[in-house]
Amino acid sequence: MADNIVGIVSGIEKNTPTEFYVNLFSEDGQSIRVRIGDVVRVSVFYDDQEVIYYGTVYDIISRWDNDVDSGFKEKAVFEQLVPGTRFYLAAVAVTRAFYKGREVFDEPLSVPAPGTPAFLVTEREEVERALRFDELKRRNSHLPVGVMINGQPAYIDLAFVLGENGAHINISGQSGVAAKTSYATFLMAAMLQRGQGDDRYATALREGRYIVFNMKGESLFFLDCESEDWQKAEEGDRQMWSSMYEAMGLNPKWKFPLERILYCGVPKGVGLKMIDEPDIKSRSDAGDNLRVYGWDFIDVIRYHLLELALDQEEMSMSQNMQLLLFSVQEKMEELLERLLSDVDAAVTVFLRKGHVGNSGGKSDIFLRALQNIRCDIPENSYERLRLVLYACNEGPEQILGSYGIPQTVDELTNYLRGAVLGNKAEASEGQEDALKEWSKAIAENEVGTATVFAFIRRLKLAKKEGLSKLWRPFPYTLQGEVTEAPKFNYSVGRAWDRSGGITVIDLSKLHSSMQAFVVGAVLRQVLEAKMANPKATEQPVFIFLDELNKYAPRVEGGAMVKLFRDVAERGRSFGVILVGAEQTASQVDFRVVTQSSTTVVGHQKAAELSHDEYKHLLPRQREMASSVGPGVVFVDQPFLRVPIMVKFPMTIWSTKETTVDTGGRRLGHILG
Amino acid sequence: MDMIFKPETVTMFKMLSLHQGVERSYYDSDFAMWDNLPPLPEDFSGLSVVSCTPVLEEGQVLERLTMEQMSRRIAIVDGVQRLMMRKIQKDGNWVYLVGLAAGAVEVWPKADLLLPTLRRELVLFVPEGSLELPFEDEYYGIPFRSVPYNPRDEKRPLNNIVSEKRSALELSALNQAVTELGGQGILLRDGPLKFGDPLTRANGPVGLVKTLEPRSNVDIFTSFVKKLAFGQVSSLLEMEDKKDQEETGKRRYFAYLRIMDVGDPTSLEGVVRLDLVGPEGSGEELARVVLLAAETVLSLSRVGPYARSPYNLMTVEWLEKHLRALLPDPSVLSIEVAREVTKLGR
Repeated sequence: MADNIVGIVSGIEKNTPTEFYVNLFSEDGQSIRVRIGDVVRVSVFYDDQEVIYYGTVYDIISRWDNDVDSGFKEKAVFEQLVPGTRFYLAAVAVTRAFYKGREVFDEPLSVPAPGTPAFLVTEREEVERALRFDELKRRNSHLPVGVMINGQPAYIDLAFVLGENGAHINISGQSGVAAKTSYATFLMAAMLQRGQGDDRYATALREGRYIVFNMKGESLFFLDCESEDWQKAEEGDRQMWSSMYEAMGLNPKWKFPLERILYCGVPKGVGLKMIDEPDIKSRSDAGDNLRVYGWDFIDVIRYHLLELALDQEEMSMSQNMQLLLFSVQEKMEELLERLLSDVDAAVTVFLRKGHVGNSGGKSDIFLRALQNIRCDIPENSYERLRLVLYACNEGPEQILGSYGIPQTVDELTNYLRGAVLGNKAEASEGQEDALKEWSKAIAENEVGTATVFAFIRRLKLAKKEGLSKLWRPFPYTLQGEVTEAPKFNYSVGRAWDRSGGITVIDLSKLHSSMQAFVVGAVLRQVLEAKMANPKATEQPVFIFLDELNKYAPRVEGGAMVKLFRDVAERGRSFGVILVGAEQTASQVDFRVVTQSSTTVVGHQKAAELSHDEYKHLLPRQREMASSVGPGVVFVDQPFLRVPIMVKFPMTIWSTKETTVDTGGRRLGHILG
Repeated sequence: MDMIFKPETVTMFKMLSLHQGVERSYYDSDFAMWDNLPPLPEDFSGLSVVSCTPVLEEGQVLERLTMEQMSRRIAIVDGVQRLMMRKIQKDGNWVYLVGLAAGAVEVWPKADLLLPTLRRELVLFVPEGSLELPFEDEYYGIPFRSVPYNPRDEKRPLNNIVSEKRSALELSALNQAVTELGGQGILLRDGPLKFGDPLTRANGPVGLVKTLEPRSNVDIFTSFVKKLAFGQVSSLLEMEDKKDQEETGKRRYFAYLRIMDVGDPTSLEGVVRLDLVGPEGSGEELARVVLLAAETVLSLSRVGPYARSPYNLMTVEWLEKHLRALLPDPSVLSIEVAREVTKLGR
């Protein structure tokens, strides 16, 4: 421990076991050797035993000592007519206490005496000890989160990220100052690189699934590309950022590898061809790593997605509508169950007899389909249904129509309309049974005609807002035998569940109600999958979502808020980790925001910082948060008593739309 | 760090043990020794009235004017002293470090200290027996010297010596102020003018004595001064000092002015004296200066009762405060003395 004395514990202000003040020495009266964020060490004596206290400087003030008490005298001091004593006082928050080299308690219990010398701690090992990073490193639970003022790396505890002790990360900050999106991708990059180790935390990060929602333009569709800002920056800056990465043990050249990324876009339209073309203009070069996403009727029914497509606020106001919604979902589920059990029965028969009978019932179609299948039949009954429908060699409309299962939102509105109008409706062929089922459902629940029509209007509105692109018809192109299992590439459920895979889902082209639908749908699928998975926590799913205030608002959130509360409160047990970001934490549901073990605050408006959500920052940090520049954030985690101010480097990967450099390749092609 | 004082100064401090347990005081009024000085007696002993010149016409009184109405350059000279520290010696005598400052403030048109008139001095008063190594030093540009005093000399007690030192500084400041004003406006001095002081000319200086207490020749005093109405100025009295042999041809001139209406025309409270020095027989000429000075003093004086002196001019208070601020802080100085002694000891 180097003895670098910088001042003495001051008795002018009130010292406590958790906070003390240091009267800073100044050789010339103008220069001091301590900055905010520096670590200091003092000795505290209890019962004649020395206890070492470490703390970080969170505030520094300067003023005249009592000898200069008027503006006139101040001027006289400036003119060197009289002496004036300058006084510097640093406020230090205690981080750790040691007795004979071992940590005493989690909490410091005594107080340093005024006049005790205070030493500046600069050696990396001791700084890490002071900030408890040594313990994290010993447990291998450290994740670099930025560089502190002294140029040394800061870490957070993965046990508080991955659900062992706590989970979830919340980032708040004004947009446009490199706080939210950049930092979230920086954290993701740090996690992926940290995942290269052998320890169990590294394994979890390596096995993790990373789902990123793109909110703005196509900005996050360039994670595998080099940032233009990085390229255009001055060499000196690039060197500085590189050294910051190196200090954190990260590779400055590392970008998100394209082979690990799936970029998912909304279909361009509902037409036959358009439904399979992602509406992503700038990344046509991404090849197989770019695809569309959507949900077929099986997903919509299975995950109760319909309720997410309707206006949450409006639904929560009308009990009748809610009743109808529940009965519609219930009916669809009931019908799907019936279909599933018929398919299961057919599979059982087929596997037993191995040939087609001719009973004249619905099962004949399934048995015929099963004969076309030359690949393995999946265990999962939903997947089995998909395969059977795919192998039917005819459009699924007829089968589904005979069960009354709507394949699209249009079909659902037709069924509901037909059910209400009864004979007056123009039922198409083969739909009589379906209409009967739906009339029964409406009659059983005693829902009025007006309510049904109101509901239909809501569905039509949802369709207009884009639901028909997301709730897509079941794909049918096959003629002949199924030799290999179809991929159903649109399925988000299949897309995200890849070890170490990054799935970027575009929301920017959607109406806000449909954005909520997508987020809700993905979360439900993820939760269900993780709840069923015994290895849930070993393969955590990280959900990176901006504008959390929109999806889990403090007031009137309906089904979405319930879903987010579920993720926040129970997700930890299943390895679902929410990395949420928002401009204003005060507008996010309280239960969602308070469940985050790790809180990150970037540049923020002073008015927003006055809310209780930011009380975890020290007063001076709150003030600083309203003025810090790009790339500076305050990170708070339960393992440390004081939030740490860190700077993170510019990312080499792009977090905004950029021109993909393919020119060189083309030229190479021409030149051979 | 460099030494602030010369080695002989520090040696002196060390000999006197000034670095150990120095007691401090702030302003002159804080300490009994300086506080209980009797007001200067309105002592006419040795003086006799030679002539008497009316300043105002019968029944005429002055009124308070604003600065703009007066429209003249006004400056006031004053001095302060500050007891810095003391230490009891083995034989029961005291060492005092006293800060003295004098200077002039221009009241109008600018409200600022006239920096060239600033005079400061730090004096370490040491009992005669203990002063073995006299020193002359400097602290932040302020002359700093030791002066011996005899603690048992009752005729010339320490406060008189200090007072003389201060008067000398004030006189120097006053002379400088006369030059600075260059014959314009009016120059007041907070305190009496004596024979050694500059002669009063068209622009002053005029002494302002704020507390009157008649001791001798009470009859003369009473007949001239009493029954002054608010704003009224007495006749200008030309005084001859029978005792003064050297300053022949110079006379002191007194005029009295009531600047506060206390409800009792016979009370001396609220009456101030304007003090002038001039050649003999110059009453007529000086009466015009007195009129200007009286008008200025009345206009600058504050209305209402004030704790220390009801007749204080706000500008005098301002000046005193600022002069004190220009003396070093006793605690800072004593810490520096202790530091220097420690350094020397090593």
